[in-house]
Amino acid sequence: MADNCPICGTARQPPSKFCPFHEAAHSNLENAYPAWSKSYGGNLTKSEYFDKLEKKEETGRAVKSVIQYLREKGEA
Amino acid sequence: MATTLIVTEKPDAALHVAEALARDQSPKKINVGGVPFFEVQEAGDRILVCSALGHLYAVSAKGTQVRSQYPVWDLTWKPKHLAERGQGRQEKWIEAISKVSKEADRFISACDYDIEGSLIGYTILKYACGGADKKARRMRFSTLTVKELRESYTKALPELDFPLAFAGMCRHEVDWLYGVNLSRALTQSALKAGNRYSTLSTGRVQGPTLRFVVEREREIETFVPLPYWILRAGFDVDGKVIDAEYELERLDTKSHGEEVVKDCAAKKGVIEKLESKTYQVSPPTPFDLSTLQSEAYRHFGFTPRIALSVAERLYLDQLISYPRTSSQRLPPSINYEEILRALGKMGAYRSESSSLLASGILRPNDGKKDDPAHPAVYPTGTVPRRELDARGQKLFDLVVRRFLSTFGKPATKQSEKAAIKVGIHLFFLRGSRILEKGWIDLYGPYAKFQEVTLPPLKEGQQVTMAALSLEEKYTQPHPRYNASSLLKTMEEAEIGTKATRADIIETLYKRGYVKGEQITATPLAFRVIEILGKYCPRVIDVTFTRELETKMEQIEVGKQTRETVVLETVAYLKPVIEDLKTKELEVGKELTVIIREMSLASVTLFVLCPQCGSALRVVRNPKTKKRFIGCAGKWAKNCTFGLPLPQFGALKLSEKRCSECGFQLIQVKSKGRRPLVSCPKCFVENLKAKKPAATVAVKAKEAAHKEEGGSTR
Repeated sequence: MADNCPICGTARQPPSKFCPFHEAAHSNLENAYPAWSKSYGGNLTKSEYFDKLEKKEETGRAVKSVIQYLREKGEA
Repeated sequence: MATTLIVTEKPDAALHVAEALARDQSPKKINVGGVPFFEVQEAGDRILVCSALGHLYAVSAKGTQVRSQYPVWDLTWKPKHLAERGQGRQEKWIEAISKVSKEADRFISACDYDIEGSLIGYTILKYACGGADKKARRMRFSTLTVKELRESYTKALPELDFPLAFAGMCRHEVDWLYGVNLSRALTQSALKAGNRYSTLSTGRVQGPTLRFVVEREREIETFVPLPYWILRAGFDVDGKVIDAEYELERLDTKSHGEEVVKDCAAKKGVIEKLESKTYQVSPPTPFDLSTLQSEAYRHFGFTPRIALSVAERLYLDQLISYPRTSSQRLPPSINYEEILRALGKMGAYRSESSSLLASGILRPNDGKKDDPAHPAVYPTGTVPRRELDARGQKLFDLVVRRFLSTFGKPATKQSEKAAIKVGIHLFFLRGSRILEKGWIDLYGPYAKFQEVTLPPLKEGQQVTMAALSLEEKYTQPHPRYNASSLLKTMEEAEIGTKATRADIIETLYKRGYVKGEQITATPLAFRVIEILGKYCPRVIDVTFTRELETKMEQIEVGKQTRETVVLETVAYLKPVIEDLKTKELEVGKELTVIIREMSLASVTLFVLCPQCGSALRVVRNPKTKKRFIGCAGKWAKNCTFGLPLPQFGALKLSEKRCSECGFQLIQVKSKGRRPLVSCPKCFVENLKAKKPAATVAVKAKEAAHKEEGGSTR
């Protein structure tokens, strides 16, 4: 695994593949999914979840960067 | 005939002190080497009143040092012109005071009665007046009115307020040790790694303050909103639709909301319960500085620094009491009645003053905070001698109305709540109104309250649901700080002093750490906090900073010594700075990347090249050194797009677009002139069309907005 965060190029924080900043965004993203899914009756796919977040101006920029990265890597 | 030398902090204060002591005569103005002194004869003795220019002495490294050299631990107090750049006037002042002090037999410090004022007076008397600090007396006052100044002269304290002065010295010394060593470490690291000079700074209070902003920014940038739903209902009551709330403020799932909508469809509601509550709202407390700054920001958009500087001007004009106070209390000794009578002579406050005077007992609604040095901010009752400028008028009115309202009766309000049952669901109608205005009338436009009146309702009354809709909402991150809320956070964290907090926030802007009215941390701020957190975490630790504040406060009451606190600071900082010094290149590399990125960002326009879509940047012709807007696609795409730029003045890319063509505006500021904002694209097109240049002078309003911390910053 590369030593740098694939999003911003600064040092990553093992075991995460991201730097502390983008790891915080990634972790918030993962942790909020169950709540989102429940809100929509358990029928919300990850891709739909990401779609909704990307359109919201409340979503942090670092979170949007993580979403973009996960999409590019086919992890969403 | 004995000669007394009185030292004040500012020239206006010197004049007021001289006028007060001269009684019916006019003080004689004399000039000593270009420095004004006021001479007054009193009971056969001569009084000379002079002013400082703020601090005339400052902390500096012992001996001669190169500004980039660090670490530095040996410090001393030097005349300010020898310690800092651009302080030429101070030399003249020190020489004049020193010369006049040789004629004086008695000395009095009449500087502002607080840490800074006491220190200013002490250093002048000690260093410029040949050790006169030991025999000097101290005038103590909170307003510059004739009555108070005369009284403070006749009842001058027998000696200087040494604990306050030593606490001030300690604060300056500790801050200097932090600021000089850490800032030089950052600046030199970046310079050595990047071969490029960029002023970077941090400090004892600056570091933790920047950390607040960075942490908030981090929270916003990594925020994931959560959805929730609210129900908006409207009930028809006697032909009028009134908004109602559902019993649950938030619904976590959409299906829950849809269920309620389905349940309530075509059903009538019945008013199940009516509740009414009458309660009293106490008058506001008198103004301490931070509440004054916060209200000035809320009502006029003044940044804390502007509010303080306007308040100080009003104080020097004898209109209000000393504004750098932590007190929310008004002691009877200020003579409430006399002030109200005087305010009553000003047309705008006549009726309010009369009604208070007629009400009998005058008792202000004192707050909890107290300051042993000064009471809360209050108007002196003096009528302005000159017409106040717009900011002065606004702040003066705010101070007067706050003073009046604090003596007012509590306001009586009534809240009403009607519970409406629709099937198994409950909805609420809410109303509120003022029954007795009390102090609200006295505070005038600054007491904002929205009344919602409900029509007459009865329990058991049937009402029709006119509307019910489900609305999707999202949780929000905490808002970014503004100058006022950041100052409040610093105050709550007990870091900095009332005199320094506003300036520290300004420094964050100057260093490029933050931008915008809604304070946004820049990438440089993130990196600096990251580095400080990694190499010297205590420097940005609020608890550690607060502990140091406490120790310095203890000096004021004689429970701690200046020497101990300074030695402890050196003991803590020494290993930290020495460690940083060994990691200069490492630290510098981390900083350089960001400095380069920010530097590139500062010259990159947000609009793209209209010919090839590449980035546009401000560049210089290597031969002629002339600056222009060039296209990054010049080599890769053979793009020839370019626009000329003004060659003189500081150039900044504006965040606004041209209203005619949508291109990014630029701002050029030359010394002593107002900034000029223009569109470089329209400029060229107008030249081609032989029209006058489309240059727009920034209007006074816009410039003022910027100064007040506006978005054009």
